Amino acid sequence: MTRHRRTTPFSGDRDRDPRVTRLLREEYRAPSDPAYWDGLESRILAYVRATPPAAAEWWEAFAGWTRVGLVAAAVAVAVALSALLRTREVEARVAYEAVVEQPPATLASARLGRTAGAPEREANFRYVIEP
Amino acid sequence: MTAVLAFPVPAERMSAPLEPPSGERALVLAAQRGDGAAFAGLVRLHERRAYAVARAIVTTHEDAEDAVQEGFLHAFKALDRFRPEQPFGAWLHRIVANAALDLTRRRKVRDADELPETVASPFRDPGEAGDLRERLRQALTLLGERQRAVIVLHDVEGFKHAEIGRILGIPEGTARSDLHHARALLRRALGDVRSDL
Repeated sequence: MTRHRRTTPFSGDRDRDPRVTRLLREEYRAPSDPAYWDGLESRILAYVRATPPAAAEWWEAFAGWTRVGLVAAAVAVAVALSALLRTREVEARVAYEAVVEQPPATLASARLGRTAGAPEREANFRYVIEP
Repeated sequence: MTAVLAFPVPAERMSAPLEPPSGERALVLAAQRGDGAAFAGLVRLHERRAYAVARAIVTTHEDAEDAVQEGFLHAFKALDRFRPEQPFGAWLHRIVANAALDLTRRRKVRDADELPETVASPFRDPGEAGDLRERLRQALTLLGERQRAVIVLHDVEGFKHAEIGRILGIPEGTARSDLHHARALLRRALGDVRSDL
């Protein structure tokens, strides 16, 4: 296996033109004065200091309310479920009572209705025995 | 929640010598506990490299300073989410790069809305050869934003392809490809300049 000897600090430099690189380094050269970096450091810290933590992220103001919100949401869900169950129970009871506890008059008329086409003799018989 | 640092930082602690990388982890942990001096130490350790990352992306020295400031502010806000076992520099560079890219986008929008009144000035040393630099700057405008960042980060700052990929959020192969195309384009554009050097 051939081992390539690296002739520059960086890999893949065969297409690099050293003169263009030199120009680039001159163009992008960072300030060399230590005082500049001390100043930048001070500006950065002042900038960070000037940003109050409360204003850092607007949604963080609500972070403390998360637990309260979760409890409130759980209570609301429980109340809603309870109300739903109660409504279903009431509906079921009403439906049951509507079927089971019909008034006698209604039953009598229903029976009369059912016998509307019966022979006349049977109708007379029913008239006699029914209240 | 955002850490609250105990500012102002004592001057004697801010100027204390710091030894990376073993000292860096201690600084990160202390800064996460709210130690302002520790955060100042991190700024001191990383501001030059952070500036280099920002400068590779934006077009002016002043914008690079702004991006570095924004980057450190974002890093400060997100400090409690940083895992100390990770390299702080790589994490910070990504944040600074994002701040620089964001600044570049805002500049584009603003420049599209306004007529430029002044020409943005790069950092200059007194003895620069203005003409050659001007021609290089013109050649750099022919590069895409990402290609320019890649060639500066690699050829000027010495970042590796993988590091550049992480900083700019692109695959390593894309960084290699961008570097190749950027070099070729600059070589072609500066072909006549090269003979003057």
